[in-house]
Amino acid sequence: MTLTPGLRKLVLTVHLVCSVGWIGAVIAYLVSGLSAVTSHDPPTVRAAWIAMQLTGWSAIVPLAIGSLLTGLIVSLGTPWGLFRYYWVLISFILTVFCTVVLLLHMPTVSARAAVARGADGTALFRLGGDLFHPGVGLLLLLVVTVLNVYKPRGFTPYGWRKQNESGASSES
Amino acid sequence: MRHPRPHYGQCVLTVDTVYRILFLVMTPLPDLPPKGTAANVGARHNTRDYPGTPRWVKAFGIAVVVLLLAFIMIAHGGGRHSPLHHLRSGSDSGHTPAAERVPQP
Repeated sequence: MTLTPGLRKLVLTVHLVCSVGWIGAVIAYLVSGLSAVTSHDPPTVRAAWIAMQLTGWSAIVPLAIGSLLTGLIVSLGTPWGLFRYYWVLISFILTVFCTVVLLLHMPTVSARAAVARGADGTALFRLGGDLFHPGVGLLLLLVVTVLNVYKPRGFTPYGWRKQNESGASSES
Repeated sequence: MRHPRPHYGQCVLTVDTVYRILFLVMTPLPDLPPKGTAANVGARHNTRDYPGTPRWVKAFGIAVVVLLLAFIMIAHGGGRHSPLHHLRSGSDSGHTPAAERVPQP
Protein backbone atom coordinates (compact mmCIF):
# COMPACT_ATOMS: atom_id res chain seq x y z
CA MET A 1 0.00 0.00 0.00
CA THR A 2 1.39 3.38 -0.98
CA LEU A 3 0.16 6.59 0.62
CA THR A 4 -0.94 9.50 -1.52
CA PRO A 5 1.46 12.48 -1.35
CA GLY A 6 -0.99 14.54 0.73
CA LEU A 7 -1.63 11.76 3.22
CA ARG A 8 2.07 10.94 3.38
CA LYS A 9 2.89 14.54 4.34
CA LEU A 10 0.15 14.56 6.97
CA VAL A 11 1.35 11.33 8.60
CA LEU A 12 4.98 12.47 8.36
CA THR A 13 4.08 15.75 10.10
CA VAL A 14 2.33 13.87 12.93
CA HIS A 15 5.31 11.50 13.14
CA LEU A 16 7.79 14.38 13.44
CA VAL A 17 5.67 16.17 16.06
CA CYS A 18 5.33 12.96 18.13
CA SER A 19 9.02 12.09 17.86
CA VAL A 20 10.38 15.53 18.69
CA GLY A 21 7.72 15.93 21.41
CA TRP A 22 8.81 12.59 22.88
CA ILE A 23 12.40 13.86 23.17
CA GLY A 24 11.21 17.11 24.77
CA ALA A 25 9.01 15.26 27.27
CA VAL A 26 11.90 12.97 28.23
CA ILE A 27 14.09 16.03 28.86
CA ALA A 28 11.35 17.48 31.11
CA TYR A 29 11.14 14.12 32.92
CA LEU A 30 14.92 14.06 33.32
CA VAL A 31 14.86 17.51 34.91
CA SER A 32 12.26 16.31 37.43
CA GLY A 33 14.31 13.18 38.14
CA LEU A 34 17.38 15.32 38.71
CA SER A 35 15.44 17.53 41.12
CA ALA A 36 14.28 14.46 43.06
CA VAL A 37 17.92 13.36 43.44
CA THR A 38 19.55 16.65 44.27
CA SER A 39 16.94 18.63 46.19
CA HIS A 40 17.01 18.89 49.97
CA ASP A 41 13.50 20.28 50.13
CA PRO A 42 10.78 17.65 50.84
CA PRO A 43 7.98 19.44 48.93
CA THR A 44 10.27 19.73 45.91
CA VAL A 45 11.11 15.99 45.96
CA ARG A 46 7.41 15.15 46.34
CA ALA A 47 6.45 17.49 43.52
CA ALA A 48 9.22 16.07 41.33
CA TRP A 49 7.89 12.51 41.67
CA ILE A 50 4.31 13.62 40.98
CA ALA A 51 5.56 15.57 37.96
CA MET A 52 7.45 12.50 36.71
CA GLN A 53 4.30 10.41 36.95
CA LEU A 54 2.20 13.01 35.16
CA THR A 55 4.79 13.70 32.47
CA GLY A 56 5.29 9.98 31.91
CA TRP A 57 1.66 8.92 31.56
CA SER A 58 0.27 12.11 30.00
CA ALA A 59 3.05 13.05 27.59
CA ILE A 60 5.78 10.45 27.12
CA VAL A 61 3.61 7.33 26.74
CA PRO A 62 1.12 8.84 24.21
CA LEU A 63 3.93 10.47 22.24
CA ALA A 64 5.94 7.23 22.17
CA ILE A 65 2.98 5.19 20.94
CA GLY A 66 2.10 7.92 18.42
CA SER A 67 5.66 8.04 17.14
CA LEU A 68 5.81 4.25 16.78
CA LEU A 69 2.48 3.97 14.96
CA THR A 70 3.03 6.91 12.60
CA GLY A 71 6.55 5.67 11.91
CA LEU A 72 5.12 2.30 10.91
CA ILE A 73 2.57 3.95 8.61
CA VAL A 74 5.16 6.24 7.00
CA SER A 75 7.62 3.41 6.38
CA LEU A 76 5.11 0.85 5.13
CA GLY A 77 3.21 3.43 3.06
CA THR A 78 6.23 4.69 1.13
CA PRO A 79 8.97 3.08 -0.97
CA TRP A 80 11.30 3.25 2.03
CA GLY A 81 9.63 0.16 3.53
CA LEU A 82 10.28 -1.17 7.01
CA PHE A 83 12.89 -3.85 6.29
CA ARG A 84 14.59 -2.51 3.16
CA TYR A 85 17.11 -0.07 4.62
CA TYR A 86 19.26 -0.60 7.67
CA TRP A 87 18.60 2.89 9.03
CA VAL A 88 14.82 2.34 8.96
CA LEU A 89 15.10 -1.11 10.53
CA ILE A 90 17.46 0.04 13.32
CA SER A 91 15.26 3.07 14.03
CA PHE A 92 12.23 0.79 14.30
CA ILE A 93 14.01 -1.66 16.64
CA LEU A 94 15.25 1.15 18.91
CA THR A 95 11.80 2.78 19.00
CA VAL A 96 10.11 -0.50 19.92
CA PHE A 97 12.75 -1.13 22.59
CA CYS A 98 12.27 2.35 24.10
CA THR A 99 8.48 2.01 24.07
CA VAL A 100 8.50 -1.44 25.72
CA VAL A 101 10.93 -0.34 28.46
CA LEU A 102 8.85 2.79 28.99
CA LEU A 103 5.63 0.82 29.40
CA LEU A 104 7.35 -1.60 31.80
CA HIS A 105 8.91 1.24 33.79
CA MET A 106 5.93 3.57 34.21
CA PRO A 107 4.05 1.45 36.80
CA THR A 108 7.18 1.67 38.97
CA VAL A 109 7.13 5.43 38.64
CA SER A 110 3.46 5.49 39.63
CA ALA A 111 4.18 3.38 42.71
CA ARG A 112 7.03 5.70 43.69
CA ALA A 113 4.87 8.77 43.18
CA ALA A 114 2.18 7.22 45.39
CA VAL A 115 4.78 6.68 48.11
CA ALA A 116 6.05 10.24 47.67
CA ARG A 117 2.54 11.64 48.14
CA GLY A 118 2.29 10.16 51.63
CA ALA A 119 5.93 10.02 52.72
CA ASP A 120 7.76 12.62 54.67
CA GLY A 121 11.33 13.30 55.69
CA THR A 122 13.71 10.36 55.43
CA ALA A 123 11.23 8.06 53.68
CA LEU A 124 10.80 10.67 50.98
CA PHE A 125 14.50 11.12 50.40
CA ARG A 126 14.99 7.35 50.34
CA LEU A 127 12.99 7.29 47.11
CA GLY A 128 15.92 8.83 45.27
CA GLY A 129 15.48 9.91 41.68
CA ASP A 130 15.13 8.44 38.25
CA LEU A 131 18.02 9.25 35.95
CA PHE A 132 19.06 5.93 34.39
CA HIS A 133 15.94 5.22 32.32
CA PRO A 134 15.37 8.72 30.95
CA GLY A 135 19.10 9.16 30.36
CA VAL A 136 19.48 5.99 28.29
CA GLY A 137 16.13 6.64 26.61
CA LEU A 138 17.19 10.13 25.58
CA LEU A 139 20.46 8.80 24.19
CA LEU A 140 18.65 6.18 22.10
CA LEU A 141 16.11 8.71 20.84
CA LEU A 142 18.93 11.00 19.76
CA VAL A 143 20.53 8.08 17.89
CA VAL A 144 17.21 7.46 16.12
CA THR A 145 16.98 11.17 15.26
CA VAL A 146 20.47 11.18 13.75
CA LEU A 147 19.66 8.05 11.71
CA ASN A 148 16.43 9.64 10.43
CA VAL A 149 18.12 12.89 9.44
CA TYR A 150 21.27 11.46 7.82
CA LYS A 151 19.65 8.31 6.39
CA PRO A 152 22.96 6.43 5.94
CA ARG A 153 22.89 4.27 2.85
CA GLY A 154 22.79 0.51 2.95
CA PHE A 155 20.25 -2.06 1.86
CA THR A 156 19.31 -5.07 3.93
CA PRO A 157 19.54 -8.36 1.99
CA TYR A 158 15.73 -8.25 1.70
CA GLY A 159 15.82 -4.66 0.43
CA TRP A 160 18.54 -5.53 -2.07
CA ARG A 161 16.48 -8.43 -3.42
CA LYS A 162 13.37 -6.26 -3.68
CA GLN A 163 15.32 -3.50 -5.40
CA ASN A 164 16.69 -5.94 -7.97
CA GLU A 165 13.22 -7.41 -8.55
CA SER A 166 11.73 -3.97 -9.15
CA GLY A 167 14.66 -3.06 -11.40
CA ALA A 168 14.22 -6.26 -13.40
CA SER A 169 10.46 -5.76 -13.72
CA SER A 170 10.92 -2.17 -14.89
CA GLU A 171 13.49 -3.25 -17.48
CA SER A 172 11.23 -5.96 -18.93
CA MET B 1 56.38 25.29 -42.80
CA ARG B 2 55.83 27.60 -39.90
CA HIS B 3 52.29 28.59 -38.85
CA PRO B 4 51.78 32.18 -37.80
CA ARG B 5 51.16 32.39 -34.02
CA PRO B 6 47.90 34.06 -33.08
CA HIS B 7 47.96 37.25 -31.09
CA TYR B 8 46.42 37.32 -27.63
CA GLY B 9 42.69 37.86 -27.82
CA GLN B 10 42.47 36.50 -31.30
CA CYS B 11 40.01 33.64 -31.69
CA VAL B 12 41.21 30.78 -33.85
CA LEU B 13 38.39 28.45 -34.86
CA THR B 14 39.68 25.72 -37.07
CA VAL B 15 37.68 22.86 -38.55
CA ASP B 16 39.44 20.51 -36.17
CA THR B 17 38.27 22.53 -33.15
CA VAL B 18 34.69 22.55 -34.44
CA TYR B 19 34.81 18.77 -34.81
CA ARG B 20 36.12 18.40 -31.28
CA ILE B 21 33.32 20.59 -29.86
CA LEU B 22 30.68 18.74 -31.84
CA PHE B 23 32.09 15.41 -30.63
CA LEU B 24 31.91 16.53 -27.00
CA VAL B 25 28.36 17.86 -27.36
CA MET B 26 27.02 14.90 -29.26
CA THR B 27 28.54 12.22 -27.03
CA PRO B 28 25.75 10.95 -24.75
CA LEU B 29 26.45 11.15 -21.03
CA PRO B 30 26.36 7.84 -19.16
CA ASP B 31 22.82 7.31 -18.00
CA LEU B 32 23.51 6.03 -14.49
CA PRO B 33 20.77 5.83 -11.88
CA PRO B 34 21.14 7.82 -8.66
CA LYS B 35 23.92 6.89 -6.27
CA GLY B 36 23.23 4.06 -3.88
CA THR B 37 20.56 2.33 -5.90
CA ALA B 38 21.01 -1.31 -6.70
CA ALA B 39 21.30 -0.63 -10.40
CA ASN B 40 24.04 1.92 -9.77
CA VAL B 41 26.09 -0.38 -7.60
CA GLY B 42 25.46 -3.23 -10.02
CA ALA B 43 26.75 -1.09 -12.86
CA ARG B 44 29.90 -0.31 -10.93
CA HIS B 45 30.64 -3.87 -9.88
CA ASN B 46 29.11 -5.42 -12.97
CA THR B 47 27.17 -7.83 -10.70
CA ARG B 48 23.91 -7.92 -8.81
CA ASP B 49 25.22 -9.78 -5.79
CA TYR B 50 24.50 -8.33 -2.39
CA PRO B 51 27.38 -5.95 -1.60
CA GLY B 52 27.45 -6.91 2.07
CA THR B 53 26.51 -5.19 5.31
CA PRO B 54 27.58 -1.53 5.38
CA ARG B 55 30.50 -0.62 7.61
CA TRP B 56 28.44 1.76 9.76
CA VAL B 57 25.97 -1.06 10.57
CA LYS B 58 28.85 -3.29 11.69
CA ALA B 59 30.29 -0.50 13.86
CA PHE B 60 26.83 0.17 15.30
CA GLY B 61 26.35 -3.53 16.07
CA ILE B 62 29.74 -3.73 17.83
CA ALA B 63 28.87 -0.66 19.92
CA VAL B 64 25.51 -2.19 20.90
CA VAL B 65 27.13 -5.51 21.89
CA VAL B 66 29.79 -3.72 23.99
CA LEU B 67 27.15 -1.61 25.76
CA LEU B 68 24.96 -4.66 26.40
CA LEU B 69 27.89 -6.57 27.87
CA ALA B 70 28.75 -3.61 30.09
CA PHE B 71 25.14 -3.40 31.21
CA ILE B 72 24.97 -7.14 31.97
CA MET B 73 28.23 -6.95 33.94
CA ILE B 74 26.92 -4.04 35.99
CA ALA B 75 23.57 -5.74 36.58
CA HIS B 76 25.18 -9.02 37.71
CA GLY B 77 28.12 -7.47 39.47
CA GLY B 78 26.27 -6.01 42.39
CA GLY B 79 24.30 -3.43 40.50
CA ARG B 80 20.74 -2.90 41.64
CA HIS B 81 19.16 -2.47 38.24
CA SER B 82 17.93 -5.18 35.90
CA PRO B 83 14.89 -5.53 33.64
CA LEU B 84 13.47 -8.09 36.09
CA HIS B 85 12.91 -5.29 38.57
CA HIS B 86 10.14 -3.98 36.35
CA LEU B 87 8.28 -7.26 36.48
CA ARG B 88 8.16 -7.28 40.27
CA SER B 89 6.05 -5.02 42.41
CA GLY B 90 6.76 -1.39 41.87
CA SER B 91 7.61 -0.59 45.45
CA ASP B 92 11.36 -1.17 45.30
CA SER B 93 12.76 -1.28 41.86
CA GLY B 94 15.19 0.26 39.54
CA HIS B 95 16.01 3.47 41.32
CA THR B 96 19.12 4.74 42.86
CA PRO B 97 18.42 5.87 46.38
CA ALA B 98 19.28 9.41 47.18
CA ALA B 99 22.48 10.11 49.01
CA GLU B 100 22.23 10.91 52.66
CA ARG B 101 20.25 14.08 52.68
CA VAL B 102 19.12 15.85 55.75
CA PRO B 103 15.57 17.08 55.37
CA GLN B 104 15.21 20.73 56.06
CA PRO B 105 12.85 21.66 58.85
